[in-house]
Amino acid sequence: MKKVLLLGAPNAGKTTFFNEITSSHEKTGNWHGVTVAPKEKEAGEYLVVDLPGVYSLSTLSLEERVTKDYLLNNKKSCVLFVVSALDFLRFLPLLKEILSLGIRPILLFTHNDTFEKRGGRLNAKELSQEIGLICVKKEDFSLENLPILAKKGEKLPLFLGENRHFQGYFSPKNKKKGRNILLNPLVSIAVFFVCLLFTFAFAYAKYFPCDLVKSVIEKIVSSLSSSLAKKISSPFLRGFLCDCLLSGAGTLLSFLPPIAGLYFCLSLLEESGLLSYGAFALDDIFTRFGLNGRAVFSLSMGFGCTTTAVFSARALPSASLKRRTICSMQFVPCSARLPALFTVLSSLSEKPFLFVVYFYFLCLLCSLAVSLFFKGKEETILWELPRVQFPSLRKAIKDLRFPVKQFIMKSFRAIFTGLAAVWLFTSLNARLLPCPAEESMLAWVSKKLVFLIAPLGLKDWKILLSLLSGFAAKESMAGLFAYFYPTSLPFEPNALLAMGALVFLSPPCASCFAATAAEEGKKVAIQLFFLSSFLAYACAFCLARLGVGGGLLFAACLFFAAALKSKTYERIPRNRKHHLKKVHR
Amino acid sequence: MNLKEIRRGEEYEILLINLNDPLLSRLRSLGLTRGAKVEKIGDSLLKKSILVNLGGVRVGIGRGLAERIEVKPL
Repeated sequence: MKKVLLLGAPNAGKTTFFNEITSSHEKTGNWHGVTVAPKEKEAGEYLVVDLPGVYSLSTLSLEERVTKDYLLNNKKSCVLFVVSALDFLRFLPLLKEILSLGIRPILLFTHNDTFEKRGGRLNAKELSQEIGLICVKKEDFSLENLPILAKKGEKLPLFLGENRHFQGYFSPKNKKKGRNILLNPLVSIAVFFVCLLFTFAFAYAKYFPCDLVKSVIEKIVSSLSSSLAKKISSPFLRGFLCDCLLSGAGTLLSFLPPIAGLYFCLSLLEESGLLSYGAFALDDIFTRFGLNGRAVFSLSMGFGCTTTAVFSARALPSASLKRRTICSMQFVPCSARLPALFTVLSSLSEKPFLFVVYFYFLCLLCSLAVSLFFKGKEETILWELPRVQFPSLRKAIKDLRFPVKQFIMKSFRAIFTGLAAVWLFTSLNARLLPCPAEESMLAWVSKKLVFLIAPLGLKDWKILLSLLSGFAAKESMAGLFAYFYPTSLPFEPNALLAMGALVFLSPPCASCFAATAAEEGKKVAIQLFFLSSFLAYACAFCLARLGVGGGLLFAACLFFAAALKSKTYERIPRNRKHHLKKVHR
Repeated sequence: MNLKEIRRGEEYEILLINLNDPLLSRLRSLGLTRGAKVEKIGDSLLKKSILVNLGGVRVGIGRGLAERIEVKPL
């Protein structure tokens, strides 16, 4: 099968194009370095490969190396050089590098509408004659006429000198517009936080659309399960179908709207490019914690799924920064933890939204403290900021399909394997005879271990079991809570808070562990596992003893410890002058 | 003067970049080379990193890096 490689600068629109021609749903976004690993898919008679974006082939970051290796191993295949019409001239050096490898790419221009709106002009035919490489606009390209294009390209004499003026390509000089308000750091930071807050409010707050849909689903499921319960006479079967499967599935399904809302807003924000400006303005602050603006961007992806965020850290320029980012990422709560947290918090108060914000805040503090703890030398930033654009609603809705499908699949897997197994082992005793849950074999084992969470005011083996199941998949925690306690959790407020901390701060699921191990090695992954277990437990303990203030006290102590640790590193002098001064003192 | 000290709204030309290779090639690929024209368009919150316009592209540059890039006003 003939390979078609999509090569080009970051944020040129390679993945968007890939999705169009192969009708797939790979992640796209308006920032540099979304794709970090090659993606292959068959389309017709071709195998289309989407490569991570590169600025140059004299490689620096990990994903650029990946692209270069891939390109060198597949020199014979057809290469499409995807370039935004807006920055064609900027990437001429990259094009020359590709040519020097003996590859003759076809140039594919994207962002043509924006380019023409700004007064640019592109005549693909003229430009092809002039530079000796086939140029084609994205709108005119189809895989069917690829062989014709490739043949045409072979006939053209190659010419690409130092010339930077082309007949077929005209790019207008940037007009001086009024100052962009986003360039003011205070404005961009305000936009950053308002956007994030709105995202969470949209997804979780009461009376917002997602919450309304959620309550409707809850009602439907509960009426369904009660009507089903009347029809089934066998208590054993009723227990399995209604209490275990339906209530677990219902709880998780009712969280579909908030999670879809979260992904929807995050996708809109990513597409608009607004967050990058806020992240850049916050660069100074995060530099103090050993991160930088670019890393914060990867961290914010962790709100969706930690596993994908871990892989996205590959685009970071230095290995130490990447490690720190991955470490602190473990404490950014992913969307799968939310159903469980909500179940816990709605037993605590009528308005769980404020508590959700509180727990997010705690998690972020922990994540910063961990990063500060591992802080090494200062990281300087070099980051191209994307153009701000109006995000397309249709695209955001289309993008929703994949995370929603994944959530449903993962939930069902968690329910049908995890919940069913738990149900089986809590309905049978050691002699494999049906019995009440309290005497079952799983209860016997868990009761032995309940001393672990007894100091938190949670003397209940069912809770321990639910929390432990979170290591397999975070979704199963909520499923088990709903199975054991269909209405609400009968605990003290402080104990519920502690439970929230255990849900939100506990180590991420097995797939994230595997991702961390793949990126940073098993040792780091295991260390992180113990670190996050320890922090979750310590935080839960503070909350159980001192209530809401305990969490803040815990965060403050953590920060103090991290600051002490990071002070032991000597500040690396930035230039000779400073260095000499220090010696004189 | 270096890139850290430039004022907003004026164009500067890059004279010299005091860096070793891996970062230098990164800068080059972003278009930050000798002779390129830059204009400061923004700061970060504590004014330690700067945002420059480089032929229509916005590039955020950290303090450590900006101090090593020599420029002259046009």
